[in-house]
Amino acid sequence: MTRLEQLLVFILDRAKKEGKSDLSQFQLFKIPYLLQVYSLKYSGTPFLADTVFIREQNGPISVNVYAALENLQKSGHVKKEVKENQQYGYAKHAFSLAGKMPPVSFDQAEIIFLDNFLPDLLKLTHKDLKKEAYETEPMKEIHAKEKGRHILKGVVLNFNSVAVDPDVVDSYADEF
Amino acid sequence: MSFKIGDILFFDRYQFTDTGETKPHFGLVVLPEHATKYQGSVFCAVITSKQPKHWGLCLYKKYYSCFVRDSFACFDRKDLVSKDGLDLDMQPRGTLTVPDIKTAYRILRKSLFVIDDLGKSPFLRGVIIYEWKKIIALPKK
Repeated sequence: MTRLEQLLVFILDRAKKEGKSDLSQFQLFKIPYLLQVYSLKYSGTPFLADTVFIREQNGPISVNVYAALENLQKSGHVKKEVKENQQYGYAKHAFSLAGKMPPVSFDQAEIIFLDNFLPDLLKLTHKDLKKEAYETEPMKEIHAKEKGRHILKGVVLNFNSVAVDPDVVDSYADEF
Repeated sequence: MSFKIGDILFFDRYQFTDTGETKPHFGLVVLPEHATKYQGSVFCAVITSKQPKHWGLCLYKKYYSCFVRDSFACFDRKDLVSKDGLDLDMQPRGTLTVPDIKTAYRILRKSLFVIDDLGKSPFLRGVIIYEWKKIIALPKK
């Protein structure tokens, strides 16, 4: 499994443990995006080195995530159900683990990082997840370029715009 | 109950990550319990009565009634300690005062790059900084 595939099964496993039987595709786009932003902001390094997110109507999506979910279904680790969803007015593509979580190669620190942020992210509604994503620097940057006119669909979001937290910068300085 | 940053716990079996040695010890909670709950552990800095050379925070017994003598939170010895080792009596035994939380954060942050333990990972370092910043507002430099 790729690192992104491992992250997706990890998120689905934690969702199950937190009492959510499945997650929507929307959640599986936004949660890895936000984890990537938090990682850059607080660790100064990306959690996912080669995952690209693009601007879509409802915020960040990723072709890499889409492909990873396809692969995980083919390999039998993840299953997808299409469920009616009156809350959002369209069918929900509900993803869940097909069995036990397959082994992942994250180290202890990476697992703590994920376990620290995931409970709060998993509690968020679609609306709040979208809001949280829109408050990140890459989304603010593209919003500014759009100037309230048409949405720049398909444009790659720029993670270089994520400012590293000043205390993380200071802690780097403490080293020297 | 769920432990939070700054709680002082007493373990009758505190296992050191680096040596595997187990001893009764107090530990200072460095990360909220939700970050490590699926590992059945709490991330702590060990508390000893012996002052470390560096990266120590003095916990005066006059402020912390759980100690019989002045003690030191040692940020050079951070461990992922199994909750199975927690003493069965009331926990936490104490909680850092607000001024000590601020002092602790300054020492802890500086120690993160220097001490070669789990906290040196950029991901764990990031979580520690994120969580401690949430609970304090440091005065501007």
